[in-house]
Amino acid sequence: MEKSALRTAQVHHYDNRFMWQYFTVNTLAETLCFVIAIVCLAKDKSLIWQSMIIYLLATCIAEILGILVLTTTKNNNWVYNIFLVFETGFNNLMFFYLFSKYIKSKPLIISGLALFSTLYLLGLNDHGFMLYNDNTYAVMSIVYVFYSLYYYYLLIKDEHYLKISHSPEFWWVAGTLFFYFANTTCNLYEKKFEHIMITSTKNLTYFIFAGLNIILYSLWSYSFICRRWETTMSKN
Amino acid sequence: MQKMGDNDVKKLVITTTLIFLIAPAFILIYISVYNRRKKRHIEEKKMMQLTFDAEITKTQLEVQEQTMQTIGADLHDNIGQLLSLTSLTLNSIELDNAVKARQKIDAAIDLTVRSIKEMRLLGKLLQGDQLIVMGLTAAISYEINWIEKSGQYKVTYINDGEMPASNSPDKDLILFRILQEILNNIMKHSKATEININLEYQDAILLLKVADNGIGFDVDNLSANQIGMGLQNIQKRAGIIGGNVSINSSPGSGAIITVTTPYP
Repeated sequence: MEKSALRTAQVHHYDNRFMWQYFTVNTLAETLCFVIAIVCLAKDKSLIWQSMIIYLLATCIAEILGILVLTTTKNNNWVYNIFLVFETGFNNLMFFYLFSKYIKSKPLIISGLALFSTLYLLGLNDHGFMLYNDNTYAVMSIVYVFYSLYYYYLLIKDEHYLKISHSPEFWWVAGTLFFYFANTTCNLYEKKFEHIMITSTKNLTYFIFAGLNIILYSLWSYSFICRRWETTMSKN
Repeated sequence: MQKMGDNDVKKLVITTTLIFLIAPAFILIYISVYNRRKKRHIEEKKMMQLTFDAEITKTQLEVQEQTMQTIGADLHDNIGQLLSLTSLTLNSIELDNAVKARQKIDAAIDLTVRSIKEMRLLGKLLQGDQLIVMGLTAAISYEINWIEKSGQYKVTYINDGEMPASNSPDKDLILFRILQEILNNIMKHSKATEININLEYQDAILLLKVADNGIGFDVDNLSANQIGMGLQNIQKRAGIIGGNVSINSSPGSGAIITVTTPYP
C-alpha cells in the first residue's frame, strides 16, 4: 500500500519543487487517516486497535522518508523493505485479533508469518536490501486476501447478528480486501507496464496505487470512526 | 504475433484493476444482504420464543384454573358433604345412650378421617405446578385419580417405554394441558364410560394417545361448536412444541386422539 512512492521513484524523478514533493495523494491520505486514528483510537481500551496509530505513524514516516531518500540517493527501496516488515507485523496482528473472536487463530497467523519470513529472507539473499522484495509483497497480498475472505466466511457462519454498517472490524477488513485484491494486477504484471506513463512524471502504477490508497485509507478511517462510536456507546 | 501497444496495456490494466475492485464490492454486498437476512431470522426466532413463552404462561394459568375448578367442585360435592354429615352425626348423639353414642362417634370419626384424606388429596392438587416438576407420568396419574374418583369412568393408563432422564418442563406442561383438554372434552361431550390413556416413548418421540368409547364425531365435518371444543387449541399447542395431533373418530365409534412430539 505504501509502495506508491517507491514505484513512482523507479520510473521517474520527483518534482524538485522542495516541500511540494511531500504533498502527494498517498501522503495526504495516510496523514489524514493517521490523524483520524489518533482522534478515534488514542483512548481505545484495545491495544491492538491502539497499535494502528503506531502503524499509521510508521506508514507516514516511511512515505516521507521514501521521498526524502529518493531525492538524495535515488534509491529508496531499503526504506520500503524495512516498512514491509512493519506492514506484515501489524496486518497479522490485526487479523490475529479479528480471527480470535471466532477461531484459534495462532496456527493460521504463525503460518502466514513463517511464509513471510521465508520469502523475505530468500528475497534478501537473492537480490539484497537495495531492491524491493516484490515477490514477498505479492504473496503476502494474496495471504491478506485469503485472510479477509476467511474472516467474512467466519462472520457469515457466526449465528450472531452484527450491525455491519457500524462494525469497525468489518470496514477494516473491507479496506484491506479492496486494496490487496485490486492491486493483484499491479503485483503480477508490474514489470510489463511500469514504463507506461500517464503524465510526464507519473506512471500508470502510481495512479492505480493512489486510487487504491484512497479507498484503503477512507475505509480504515471509517473503521476507526466506527470503533470510536462503539467504545463511546458501550461506555454510556 | 502483434505486440500490444501501451494504450492497449493501459486499458487492460485499468479494466483488470476495476474488475478486481468490483469483485470485493460484490462480496461486501452479498455479506450485507446475508447479514440482513440473518437479522430477520433472529427477529423471527425471538418472536417465536415470545409466542412460546406467552403460550406457556397461558397454559400454566389454565392448568391452575382447572385445578381451582376441581377444588371448588370437590369442596362443594365431597368434603362439604362429608363435613355436613359429620356435623349431623355429632348433633344427633344422645349422651344417655352410651352404646348408640359410641356408634355415632365412630361414624363421625370415620367421616372426619375421610374428610382429612380428601383434604390431603386436594392439597396435592393445589401444588399443580409441582406435579409437572415431578414429571409428566406422575401428573397424568394424579389427573386420572380424580377422574376415577367420580366413579363414572373406567380409566386405563399404560406407560410404555422408559422416559428420558432429562425432561422438558415446558413440553410436560403443554402435554399435560393437552391431556386435560382432551379429558374435559370426553367428560363434557362424549358420553363415554371408558377412557384409555397411553404414553409411549421411543426414539426421542413421545406419543400420548387418548381413546374413549363415547359417541364419537365426524372429523371431516365438524360444526363450529365442535371446533370450539378445544380441538384447534390442542393442535395449536402441539404445534408450538413441534408436535402433531391426529384425530380418528366417527359417529358412534368413540374417538382416538394421538399427540406425537419430539422429546425432550
